[in-house]
Amino acid sequence: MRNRRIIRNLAPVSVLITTLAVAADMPTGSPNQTAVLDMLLMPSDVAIGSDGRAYVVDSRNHQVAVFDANGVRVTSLGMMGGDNGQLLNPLGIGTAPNGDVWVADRGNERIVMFDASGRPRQVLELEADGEKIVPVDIAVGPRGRELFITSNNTHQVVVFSTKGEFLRAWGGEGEDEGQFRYPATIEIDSAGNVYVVDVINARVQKFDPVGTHLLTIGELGGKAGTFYRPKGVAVDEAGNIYVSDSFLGVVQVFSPDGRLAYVIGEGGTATVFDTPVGLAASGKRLYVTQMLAGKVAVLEPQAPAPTAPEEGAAE
Amino acid sequence: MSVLRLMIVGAGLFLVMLPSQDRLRAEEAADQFDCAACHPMKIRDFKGRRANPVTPVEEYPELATGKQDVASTPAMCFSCHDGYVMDSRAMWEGGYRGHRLGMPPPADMVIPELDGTPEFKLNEDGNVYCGTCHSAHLSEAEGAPPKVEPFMRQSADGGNICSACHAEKLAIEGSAHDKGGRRNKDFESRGICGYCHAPHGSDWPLMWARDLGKAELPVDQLCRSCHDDAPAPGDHPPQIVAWSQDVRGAIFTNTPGEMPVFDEQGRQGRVGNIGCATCHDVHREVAEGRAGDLRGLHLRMPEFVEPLCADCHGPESLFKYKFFHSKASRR
Repeated sequence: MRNRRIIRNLAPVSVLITTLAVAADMPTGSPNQTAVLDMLLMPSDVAIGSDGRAYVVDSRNHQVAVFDANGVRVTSLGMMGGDNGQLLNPLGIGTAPNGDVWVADRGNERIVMFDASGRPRQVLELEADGEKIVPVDIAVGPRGRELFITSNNTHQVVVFSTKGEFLRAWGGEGEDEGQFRYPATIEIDSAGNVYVVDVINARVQKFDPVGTHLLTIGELGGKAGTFYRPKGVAVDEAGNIYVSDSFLGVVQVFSPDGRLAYVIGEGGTATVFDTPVGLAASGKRLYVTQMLAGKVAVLEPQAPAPTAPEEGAAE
Repeated sequence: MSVLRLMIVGAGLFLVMLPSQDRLRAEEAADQFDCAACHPMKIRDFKGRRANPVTPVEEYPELATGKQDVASTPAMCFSCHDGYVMDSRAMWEGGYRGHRLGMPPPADMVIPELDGTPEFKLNEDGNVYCGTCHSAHLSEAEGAPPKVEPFMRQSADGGNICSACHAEKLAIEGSAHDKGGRRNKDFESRGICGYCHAPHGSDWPLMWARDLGKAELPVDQLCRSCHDDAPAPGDHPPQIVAWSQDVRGAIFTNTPGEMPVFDEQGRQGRVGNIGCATCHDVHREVAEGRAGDLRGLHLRMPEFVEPLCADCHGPESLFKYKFFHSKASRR
């Protein structure tokens, strides 16, 4: 049971998490799975509200499933359709400090906001430079005034006020620094820095709030520290960056300066999730949305213990 | 002096116009990158002596459809078609419900070739797989038409990709059943066949794309999708929905394909139930016989229009029908 303490197992694990052998020199940290949020149809993203609730985009059920801090499903937001408060293949989600829940309603090509009580309050159909935005994911700025949205069709990050006023955009299709080829999930840290998963360029880019490029993490590859199909990104309170890879099935952890810290797994073996996509970090917990498994794993990642110095090594 | 200057300037221009090694390397890397985006084995982290993957990836995994290149596995397709690049998730929902996969083509099917190369590939086990119809590349056979919409090996316009292997079905073109794919919002990519068949998402037999109609025979439910109130009573030969005796071993068995009869699952066989498709070929308008006045009937044997039973089975068939086949009057 070493490092496998189950704190709560709120629902049966419907799909066995398998592991595959990897090179022994790869640092892996324990996942310590604490809960499973399941009975979902192709969930794509998760965000944690200020009240500790987990808002899971139950994408092919065209709704948002809401779980309390204990993992009990308490309600749902939205239903299939194109009217007010309805959703169609929603993909991304972000929560605001005041409890508002913002959903990237990809199928309806719009943003939908539910207030803290779950009532639909706002629908934004957005344009930038005369072109309609097809939103993939959304993150709310630290002060709750700005919406950062990844745009599937224009390969940009677009920033709007919560009233739908266009503020700025950056990116565009390409492989250069600051450009994207299909930006996917987006995350904002406590300082307001923006992290964007750049799927086809197989990297994560970090920007300041106005779009100045700060850091690139990873490149196309197969070894630890590289990505094949990065999809989800989350940043914890310490600034550690978590990145999921939906094809390889792993979640890798990077230090705030972008260096590989470890891969979630045990004993040199990566934990392989079933199509991990959207992530969320809250306190000690990491939420891993697994699209084809129809569930969200709730983990308490632990960095690998530092290796003991070799015998005879100088102190 | 002037000649020397000219030579120096010319050499300089030549050097400037030459592609730099950096640029060549960058272009080469870009090519490699684009290939490796779907072909992981082009990355040395996955293959070779220096492989050191975070998780291993098999080059030719064994799937339910057979052994095939990892680049053409559903998992690879889903890694982009999960909504984050393109959204084709309906394909993965509730399992695959489309064109037959994981089996070889029928022995009598002719797969077209281009310069001796099959235009529609089979996987390592010789089975139909996703890559049979789809490719992210230009068709690999030399002289093939350029890549067309959603990574198809041929365009769906006009039913081209379907009729490449199912050539006999294209007789539907210009018939009353040729709806030109108008039912579909994206009919341009579905073509003439997409009006009735959904190769990627049907819950019904024959990749039926429409809601089934009401009929006793499953195979007739397809026809009743549209013809729910036709034919009018009295205007049509009475349908035989059940055999009055065990016909297995009877001498009057059917030759599949000519006037097909169907079992309860809708499969053709030498014995079975007569359904709409026994006499009607929905893919063929009157191709021979008395064209014109029979247009729209899609009869397999247009020379026999009435009374159909007696024409095939002789005058005694009317008696047999009454006493053996008709649900209402049989004994």
